[in-house]
Amino acid sequence: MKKAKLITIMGVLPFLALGACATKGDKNVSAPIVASNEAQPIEMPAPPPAPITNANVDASASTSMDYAAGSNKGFEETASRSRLSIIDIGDRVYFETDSYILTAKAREILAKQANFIMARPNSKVLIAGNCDERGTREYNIALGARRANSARDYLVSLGVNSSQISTVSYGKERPLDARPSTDGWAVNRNAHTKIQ
Amino acid sequence: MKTLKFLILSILGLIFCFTEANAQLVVNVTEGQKKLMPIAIADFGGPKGADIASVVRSDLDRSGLFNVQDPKSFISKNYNVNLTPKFADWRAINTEALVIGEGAQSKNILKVEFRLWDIYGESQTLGLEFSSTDENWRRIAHKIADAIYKRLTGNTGMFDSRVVYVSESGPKTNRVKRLALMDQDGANPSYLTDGSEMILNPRFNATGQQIVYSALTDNGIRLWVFDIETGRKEAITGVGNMVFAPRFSPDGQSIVFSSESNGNIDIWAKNLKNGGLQKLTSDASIDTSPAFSADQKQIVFTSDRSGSPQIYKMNSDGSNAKRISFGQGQYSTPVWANTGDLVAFTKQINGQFQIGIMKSDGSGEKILTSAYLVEGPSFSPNGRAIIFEKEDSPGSQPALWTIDIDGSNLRKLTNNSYSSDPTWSPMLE
Repeated sequence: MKKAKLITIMGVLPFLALGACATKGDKNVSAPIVASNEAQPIEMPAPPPAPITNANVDASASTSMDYAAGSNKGFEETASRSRLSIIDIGDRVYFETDSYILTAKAREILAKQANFIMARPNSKVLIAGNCDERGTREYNIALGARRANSARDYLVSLGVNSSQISTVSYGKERPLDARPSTDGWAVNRNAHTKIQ
Repeated sequence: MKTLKFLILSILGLIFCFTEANAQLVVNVTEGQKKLMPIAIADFGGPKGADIASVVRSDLDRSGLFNVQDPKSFISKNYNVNLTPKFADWRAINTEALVIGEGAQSKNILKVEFRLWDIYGESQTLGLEFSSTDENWRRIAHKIADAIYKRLTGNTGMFDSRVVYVSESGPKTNRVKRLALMDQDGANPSYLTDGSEMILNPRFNATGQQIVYSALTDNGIRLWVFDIETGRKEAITGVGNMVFAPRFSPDGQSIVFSSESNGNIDIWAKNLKNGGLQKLTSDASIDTSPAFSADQKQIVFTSDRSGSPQIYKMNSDGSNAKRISFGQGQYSTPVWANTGDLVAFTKQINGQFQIGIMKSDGSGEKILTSAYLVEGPSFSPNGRAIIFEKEDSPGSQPALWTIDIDGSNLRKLTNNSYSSDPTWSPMLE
């Protein structure tokens, strides 16, 4: 009985990645480190669970996944939010600090998104712009709007019907990554494409 | 919430006047010459007497201008408001000013009188009586503190005022942000929204009775005006748009804000009487965080038209915009003091955030404080202090802090929860 429970925990751990760190008391569970190592090599775009994808922005590719304790909760939520097939081709593009200019990598992902959306002419798409916490609240709402529109404009330039797309900015209000570090900020500077 | 009337019932007559030409009991508030005035505040007599005295002590202490004496050090136990104090007993503990007061209650009306004594001049400096319903005892105390502050500093007070802010809860990646209101000392917090929308940048109108704020949902940000007295809220803009960074005009007739269209963010004004809209900027860059001057003739705002966020000033019809911030770093969230030609702002430089002030022509920049994150300054009603949001270090939680405009007296506001986005109200009626 006890053993069975332990196995279950071990099985779940790699997916929860960090939540597992909180598992206490059982000395046999060395899972947090295992989870981290497994998480790292996954290439972007990655299949769900989304949290692992999030860490694989260029800027953070070389980082270990040593998230601060307690920073994991949002990831579970993200995973459930992201059960969309656009995830498979990459639903987020990332930006440099205080920039809304699309990188080459971002254009590559958006090109795939464009094909995906054009194959679904009846779908509605919401693009949300997000910012890291290193800006003031109001300015970041504006910057996030610019990021969402950069992504939208590029999709439209590739042939997506503009009436399918709406944009929004969450500024720095809905960070994906709680780490207060350059890696965490890099994850949070993005435009997220969501099929509604 | 009901507005309650306060009455200054009478100016208490002088009991005695020993000397004719006393040295003036005055606190010097000039920058660099601050000398804390020792003041003793005895527990008041009557209902809530000790509580009222405690609020007065705490207000005056937080002003950073007084050395509030510990009641345990008092020699004299003569706290009768109608008797002249034994000045020698108060001189013996080196206090220069003494406050003695007494309340009386009839039905639900609480009447509190107090006298401010000049210990070295051996004379009464101020005597007043305030009256309100008893549940308002904290406001009576704040009014007493304001009266003492005004008498001793020559400046209007700031204690009978409130702070509107955003109360945060939950993990950073899934925050709940509610509109909240509390007294300026952190007492009486109340929550005005339920958390289903994420509340950003709440601001008072000039009477302190209405709050404009923006509410973020999955597909947009819209403006609401909340009326404190009635508890009603009214949508100012529609669903699905991106409208944010609102502020009332000083006359309360209009709201300025930022609105996004195809990735361009411009500043608009909406007339609340007739619904008329006026576009104030049409630059292709980000224009946001507009704030009026007290005379309503000008607006300061943030724009990145030069390539990075900087502060600009324009006429309130949008004409004649010019940049006023020229220092190193990025500038944003400017706000004009009601009391003079002073603009407070957030600055980012070398990976740190700062709160600073400067004149509206950009001269005289002074940085007051710096941290991992400080943002969104708002002036106290008398212009002597600024409240702002602060996160001490990476990963720490947001809290509200105050600082004097000379850079002294940095204090964390007592508050149990994560708090951000504060705006200080005008003085209450």
